[in-house]
Amino acid sequence: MNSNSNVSGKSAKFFKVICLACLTTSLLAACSSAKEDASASSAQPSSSSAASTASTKPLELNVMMIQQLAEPPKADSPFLKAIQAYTNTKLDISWIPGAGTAYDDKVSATIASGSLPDVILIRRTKESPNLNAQMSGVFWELTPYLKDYKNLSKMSEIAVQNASISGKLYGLPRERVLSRYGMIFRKDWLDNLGLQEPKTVDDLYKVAKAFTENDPDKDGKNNTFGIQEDATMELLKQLTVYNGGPNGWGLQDGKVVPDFVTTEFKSALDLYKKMVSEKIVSEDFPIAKKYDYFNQGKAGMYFSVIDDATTRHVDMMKADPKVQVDVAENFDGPTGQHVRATFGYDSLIAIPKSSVKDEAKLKEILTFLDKMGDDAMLTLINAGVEGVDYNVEDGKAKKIAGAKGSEDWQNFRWGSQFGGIQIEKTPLETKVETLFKGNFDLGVVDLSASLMSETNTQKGADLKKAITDAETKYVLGALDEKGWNDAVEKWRKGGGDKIIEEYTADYNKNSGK
Amino acid sequence: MDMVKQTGALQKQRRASFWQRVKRHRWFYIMLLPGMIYFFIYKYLPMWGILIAFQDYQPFKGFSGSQWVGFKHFETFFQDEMFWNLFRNTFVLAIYNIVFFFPMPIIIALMLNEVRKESFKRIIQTLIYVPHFVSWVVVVGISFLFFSTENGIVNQMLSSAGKEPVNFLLSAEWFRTMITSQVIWKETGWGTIIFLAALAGIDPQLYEAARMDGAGRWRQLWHITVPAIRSTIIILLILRIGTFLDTGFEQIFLMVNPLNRDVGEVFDTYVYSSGITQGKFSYSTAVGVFKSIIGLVLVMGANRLAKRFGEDGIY
Amino acid sequence: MVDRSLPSRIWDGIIIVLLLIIAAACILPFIYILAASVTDPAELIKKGFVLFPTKLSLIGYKYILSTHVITSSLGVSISITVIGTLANLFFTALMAYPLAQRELMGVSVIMRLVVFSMLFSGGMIPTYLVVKETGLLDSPASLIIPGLISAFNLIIMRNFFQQLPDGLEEAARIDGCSDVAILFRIVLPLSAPVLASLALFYAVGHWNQYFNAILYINNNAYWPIQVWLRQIVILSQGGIGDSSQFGQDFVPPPAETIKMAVIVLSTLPILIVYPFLQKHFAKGALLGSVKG
Repeated sequence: MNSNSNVSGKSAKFFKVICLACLTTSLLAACSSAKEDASASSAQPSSSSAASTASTKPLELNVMMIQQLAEPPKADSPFLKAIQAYTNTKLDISWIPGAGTAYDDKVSATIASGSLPDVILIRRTKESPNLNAQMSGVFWELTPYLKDYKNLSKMSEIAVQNASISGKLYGLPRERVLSRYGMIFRKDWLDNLGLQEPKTVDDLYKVAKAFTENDPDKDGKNNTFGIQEDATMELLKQLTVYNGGPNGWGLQDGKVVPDFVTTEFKSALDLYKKMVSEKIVSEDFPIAKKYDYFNQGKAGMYFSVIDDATTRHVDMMKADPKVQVDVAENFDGPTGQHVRATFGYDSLIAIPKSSVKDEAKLKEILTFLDKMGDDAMLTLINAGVEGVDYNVEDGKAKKIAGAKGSEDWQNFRWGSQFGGIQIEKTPLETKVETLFKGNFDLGVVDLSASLMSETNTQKGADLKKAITDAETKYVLGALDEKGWNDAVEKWRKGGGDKIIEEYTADYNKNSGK
Repeated sequence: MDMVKQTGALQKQRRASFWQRVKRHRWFYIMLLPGMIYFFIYKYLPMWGILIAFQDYQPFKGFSGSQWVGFKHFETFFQDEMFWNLFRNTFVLAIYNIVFFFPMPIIIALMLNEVRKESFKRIIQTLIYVPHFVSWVVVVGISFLFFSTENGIVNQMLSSAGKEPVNFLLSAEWFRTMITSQVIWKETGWGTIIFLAALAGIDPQLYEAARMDGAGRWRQLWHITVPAIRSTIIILLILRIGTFLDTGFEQIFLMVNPLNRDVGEVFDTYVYSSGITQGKFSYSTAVGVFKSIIGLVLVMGANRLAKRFGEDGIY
Repeated sequence: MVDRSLPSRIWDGIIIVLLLIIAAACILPFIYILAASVTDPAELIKKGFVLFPTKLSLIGYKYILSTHVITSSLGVSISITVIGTLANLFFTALMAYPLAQRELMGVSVIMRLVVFSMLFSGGMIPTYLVVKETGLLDSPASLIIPGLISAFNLIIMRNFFQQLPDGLEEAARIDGCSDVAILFRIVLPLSAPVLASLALFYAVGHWNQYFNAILYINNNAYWPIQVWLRQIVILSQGGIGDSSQFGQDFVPPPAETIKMAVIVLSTLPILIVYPFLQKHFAKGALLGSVKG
């Protein structure tokens, strides 16, 4: 016992010494890196001013921008230098981490404090409080100015329409691919079973069933299933659209109605239920993580934005070279082909009135943002820095292996992700891009994106939650036909009918114009 | 209230000596000063924020510019058809928490106190303190790994024992058990710390004396150890009761799903989803004020009860 | 001296077995995290659950250590935790001691106010505005001063002070010690166990802080390490919900391995603190400190 405690005493001391050593080195490292940072940032203005001494004084801007990656861009980033030099600006950017609610909370607190930056990115622009802030004139209305700018005048029409509030635009919508949703599947499983790529909803069901029952991975075990789903039930939304139904909200018999009151949706829901009962969709989908079963080689397909195929399965394909991932968007339905679409934009780059007091400054900022839509800037953001991130071969940008690219500077892009220099792509990336472009006209947009309903702003989300719950319960067999109808009826009575009315009125008003 | 009355009576009796007493204890008052300034500035100055429960607060309009709406948000909340369901769910979970979780750290601390070998005790202490540092996202993630019906380890063991799989995660009946077990797993070790501190204060001579008197270990435990930590237990219990309706947002938010929402939705998760749509700040403040008032009433009751049993209570 | 009777030994045995089981249950998931953090990402993604990796990989740790913010933000975290905890303990003790005096006028009113402040708070925006008005925005002090005294910890400390034997203080007072001197020379040295627990509570609070840093500080050179680590964990959690409306174009999420490495790295430094404080929780530690 004595010797025992001696040993532990000694090791504890040893431990202590190690920890102290760690602490001091890390503290020292912190000091030195802080110094480097300081010298870097002090060096930076001189370089940018050197570049601009010839022309006018650079425009100084405070910007609040979201940060999507783990670490923020460096203060001496070549991207910052390139943007500042090209647009003749001096940018002071606060990168705020976007994970969780911190970004939106910071925006609210900043708005409340009254000291806003010159340019700010706002998310969830159709939810209060950001909706109220826009309507109450916190930000400049940009609609009248856009036509005067080379690039801004050519912004994506759908993005502008969906981002506007009653026809007025309070920030630059960042354009996103429209026809972005589709199916991601295991091409090698399909080949193993000698099946063709599904072309209709019926095919889809047959392939998924074969994936479940016919041992597509050829390991002799019954350990696979057809479709990976998660709590968002993306499959249900896409099936509805393939059937010719609305994406979220759509026009039917002159009324703007939600998908779940349509017959297209109901048949999709029943098919979904059938697939759950046949174990084509695993019963634990409400708690499943979106990519897990697919990555583990247990599920053969899932439904998502199809660019996921190029980013989410890198490790999986590395581990097993046999794995082939493919994508599809086009399914024939009773009314032709339809693709579930996004809103066509994400977030607004807004200019607060309290910090940008006059039109002259506003126009200067718009000039800066307009330049960000030039080919040179789109090349920078989409492809990176030449010689560091890519080399030009045959007029195309060829990515240098291991290069990090523009990372969070992508958040400054409001233009097309295909703008600027052409980038050399993998066959799968090329296929994704081809589908995106080729299916643009097939995209079914949620009609409510551009409409206003006071009742929906008030309690739409609450009402919708009850419907989502009912959908889940219905397909799992925890709710019967009557229960489902009751849930829809309850939605109508609880305010749903009023939302339909208000959306329809707004739609008629807008299209009447 | 009693105390205020008492001091009031004292003042009348010995008005002359009031300043004398202040003067005699002046150093105590000087010591109190920094803390009181702190509480005033950072706790009481922001309390105007409670009033936004009676407004339609919009950050850009500010407090003075936002519209006053009286009890509108409270009415909406109380009239919500979910209200009683939420109240029941929150209340039952809180009861589970106090009945099943609250005693755990005390029991473990007492068990650790019985261990004679100091090194063993320290190792166990360190190990059981680890889960506190695992965030809820990870705890829930691990629970899904262990308890899922598809390939969860627990259900695999059940099926190899020839039993039916149990749907721990997608059923209403297991929800509360899962939530409370997770809390017990994560926080028990952490909770023992304060009791271990209290136990460290016991004079070993007391045990010595008890042994001389022939007291067995049970009696030592009952007559020396437990009384030594009693006031700590009571203070913690009163404080816990004050935050009775705080169920911990993140954990429940991650655990709740359409199949257990009937028992799983609590005030905190409800405010998160509804608050966003209903003018966020004012509505969630109103629900917060409601919870705080309940907490205040419970703390006052618990404190009074503690005093009736001859304890110090908090104030 | 020590009870060596049979029932007593059985009692010991039962306790030891129970404690071992509990400790195992506590540590097992952490071992899983540890194992996952050194598993090759491809293996982890394929199996989902790994306790004994067949192919080791330190890619997670390498990735985290290669980020340019890691060293400086670790420095910030350590400084904030050390300075903050010392400040917390000093001001909490300074306030708790007078409040532990039963005969002091006004104590009861102040305690009521303290409890009230625990239950009712102004909320995020009002607190933000006060922090702004007091000039703390963009300063690391905003991570320490607005949380200088926790009402909970204050009440705990006061309770411990009240438990101390009155005789000691009386004797010191008669010896001519001032109230302040009694606190620092007699009461605090006698309160090692509670100081150790509260130091732990405060230190862990500082260590895990991320939200206030994001809210109060624009200059990310002053952000503690948890801001980045949390970002990584949430990003790699990914796939919950529909991210398509919120961007993330062509940004692959960090691998699960990296997430696990983050969890290990963010937990380990603060885990190490505990063993150093443990001696204050030993039986009779208080008496030892009086003699020493």
